[in-house]
Amino acid sequence: MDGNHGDEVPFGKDSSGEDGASVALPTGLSSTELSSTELSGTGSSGGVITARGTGDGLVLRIDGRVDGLQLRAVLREFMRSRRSFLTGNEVALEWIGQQPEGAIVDSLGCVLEDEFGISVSSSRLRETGAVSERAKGTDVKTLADGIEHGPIIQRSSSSRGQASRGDGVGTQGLSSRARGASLFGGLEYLPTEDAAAGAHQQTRAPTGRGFDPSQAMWDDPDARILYTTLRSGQKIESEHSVVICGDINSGAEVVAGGDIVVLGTLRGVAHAGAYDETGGGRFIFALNLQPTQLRIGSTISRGSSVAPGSSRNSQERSSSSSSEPVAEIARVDGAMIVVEPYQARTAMVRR
Amino acid sequence: MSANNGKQKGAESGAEVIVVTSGKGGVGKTTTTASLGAALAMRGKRVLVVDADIGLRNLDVILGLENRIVFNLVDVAKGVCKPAQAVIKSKKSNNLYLLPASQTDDKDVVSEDEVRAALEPFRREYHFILVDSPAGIEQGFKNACAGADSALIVTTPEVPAIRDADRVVGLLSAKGLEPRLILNRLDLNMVARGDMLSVPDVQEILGIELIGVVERDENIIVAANCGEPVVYNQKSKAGPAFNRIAARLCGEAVLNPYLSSESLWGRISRRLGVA
Repeated sequence: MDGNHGDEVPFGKDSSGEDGASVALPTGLSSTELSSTELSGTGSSGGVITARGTGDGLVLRIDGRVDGLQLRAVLREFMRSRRSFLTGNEVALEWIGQQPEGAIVDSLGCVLEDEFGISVSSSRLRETGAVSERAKGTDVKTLADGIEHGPIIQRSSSSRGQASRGDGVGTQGLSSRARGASLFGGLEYLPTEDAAAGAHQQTRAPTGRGFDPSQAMWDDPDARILYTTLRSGQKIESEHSVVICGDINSGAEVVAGGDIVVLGTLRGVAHAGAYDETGGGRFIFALNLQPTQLRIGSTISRGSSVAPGSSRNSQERSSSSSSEPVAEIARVDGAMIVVEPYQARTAMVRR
Repeated sequence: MSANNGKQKGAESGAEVIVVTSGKGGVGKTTTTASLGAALAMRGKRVLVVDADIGLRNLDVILGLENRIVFNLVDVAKGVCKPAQAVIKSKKSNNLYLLPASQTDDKDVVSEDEVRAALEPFRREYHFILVDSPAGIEQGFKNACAGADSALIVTTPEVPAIRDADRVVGLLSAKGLEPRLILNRLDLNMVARGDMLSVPDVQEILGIELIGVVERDENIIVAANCGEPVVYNQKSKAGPAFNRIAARLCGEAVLNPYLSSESLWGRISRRLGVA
């Protein structure tokens, strides 16, 4: 794992342009096109507005070069499709290209506040290069910082369709699952640029590393295996990687210096790469990931507080409970933990 | 102690001591203990229900025996009285007996070894000894589990109750007890609306054997207030449910209508029709 974290840097540097984290995409899609594919519900808000979670909360990134009136319409449409997880939050506005005049900013703020109950905490022009700084790990939060303001765990909504096929299809089916899962005690799904970029980074990783089987060695010859379910109040700690053949129930905790693999449902707290501030590229894998909290190194992310049985909409709930859980893997991407469906070909290569 | 009781037919192999516990309070441990005790007694088993909730006893009230208490579990444990002197026969059944808790002491007044030793002489005289555990996982809980051969965990389909139950399952497993689950206060309407955890939801989280499901039933409250276990009311929803659990404790295979989502009502009504 030594130096693996550094592997991220070349990817970040590869890409020119303003967004350091969006890598050169295999299909040649630009990152703007990509985010428009996943974020535009009906197509017309495409690319103008993107929502992302950061360590400081939710950020709406808006293309400031678009006409003010058009912006309001696009914003309304954008918000309507995401009302459920944005309402009641505070967002920061981040302008791409240029920051429009104060009156336009104010009028957008009014739309957010009056129609969607969202208050605007700040409005600023996006600084170029901010993301590549984070990719180098300079913005890693301490655990204490993270839990106060930390983002709801990010699920990379693009990874299922796009990371596997790299063709940008399949996002619609996923978003319906995403909504269902968040209602059924799962995590909030927030499509983000970073998540999309991270997914593509992973598709590239194996070829980039030039893995040679003859050089294979045991990364952790002392990995620990536990054939039991961890129940509330139980905690295990190991400096090695930990495999749990069972569930980790709510109220239980696993702390591992290495990776954590749960062959069951993870409902409690898992902390991988616990003795390395950066997390050392460690991951948390579970057949069914519904954690209270995920920690990798000093990066922390909390699960949604929505519990099964508390759903008010029985139809959405029944649709979510009927859908089979998908094995997912959580890892650090930039300054946050990103969760994506597990892809055997790519996911296990440590970055 | 047992000259009298010893002549009556007791379990030859000794009683099975079952602790009824939950972690969380207010989920129905005491009601379950009393109801199962009465249901087992109706099946012809000799049953002793023991109130281990020292300082906050309630089992005597639910059985309507509060005015007959002279000695209690602490007295037996400390040798103040003979074991048989502390036992009270229930009003409704000749097979159901209560060993009450002390109301004036606290949980630390007896040790686990003392409770285990206090229950030992009763094993020869009863088929089942049901121990009503206090809430929590402290000394009172440990005392209640001290002499137990098996455990019943009572939980309601609520997240806090299930989390506490999960904790208790872990603690009991560490003691070598493999607990069985009673899911209490299920509301099928709320489950249908998606507002309550379903039976499979709870089973998936706790992962232990489900021995019975008891629906939410107003008759339970009425029964507790009049000191008559709900199993005597065959028209209630909860009474037959406790009877089914009692049958399973006796080793009978009884269909669980709550484990099949299809034709649930058909099965229930068929059962009621047969009964």
